[in-house]
Amino acid sequence: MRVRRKQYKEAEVIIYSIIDIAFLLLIFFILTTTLAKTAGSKLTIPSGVSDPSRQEEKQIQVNLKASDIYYGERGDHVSLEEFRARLQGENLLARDPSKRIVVLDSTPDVPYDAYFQVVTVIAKAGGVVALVDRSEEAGGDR
Amino acid sequence: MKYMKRMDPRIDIPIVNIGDIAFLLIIFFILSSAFMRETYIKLTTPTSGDITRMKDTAVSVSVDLKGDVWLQGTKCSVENLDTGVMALLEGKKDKIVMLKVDKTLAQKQFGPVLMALSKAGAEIALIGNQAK
Repeated sequence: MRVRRKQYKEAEVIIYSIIDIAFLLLIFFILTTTLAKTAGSKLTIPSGVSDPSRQEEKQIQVNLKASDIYYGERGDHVSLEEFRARLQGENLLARDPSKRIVVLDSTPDVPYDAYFQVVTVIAKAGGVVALVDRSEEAGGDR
Repeated sequence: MKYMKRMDPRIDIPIVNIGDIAFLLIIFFILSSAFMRETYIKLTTPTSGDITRMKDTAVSVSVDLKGDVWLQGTKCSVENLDTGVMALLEGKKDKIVMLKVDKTLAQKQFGPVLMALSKAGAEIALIGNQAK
């Protein structure tokens, strides 16, 4: 007797549609991905209320009025470059962190651009920025 | 006369491999991408040569052109900012908060934000553009 062999169909997985989806996903990811890295400056702010004993220590005072920088107790009007040089001259990085405090006081009209330049210079020099809180009547710095 | 039809060989482009490459690229983008978050917040960050590249942090606060405060891409009042940040930082080892402020804003607008972040115990990372 002649036995007829069963003809098996070759199984085929259609992957063309999957590839289309893969490319669509690829386009989505290419368009939504940000390749630019974030750049910034970490600001060290002492937390809590002001410590009266600290105020007796010699702290660097910086005043910002509009876009003008006033440095030190005498309030010398300096440019950003001069401010950078003076702060580097203080050699803050060699000091104890508690003695690196730079008190930054600013008037309400100071633009963020000027503020940012000053703060980044202080941070780069190794300073700890103490912000003056003018919202409270006591006027304690943080 | 009988002409014999020339049998053209069937050109078969193997696209299966292209699919493999596409999937590999997708995996790469999934793992390495930081989505364009907060693109709807209109602000221009200042440029400085004193800043360095830093990695993205989990918490971000933005102050836009109008002075509106955004916490993690959601509008928030300055009064509620400290509690909101505190809640987000709770249990986190890294207390860094990315702060993006529009460069044209005045201190009276961004000052209270800095104070609120300081009150929340956050380490503030001021974000800007690196000068070339």
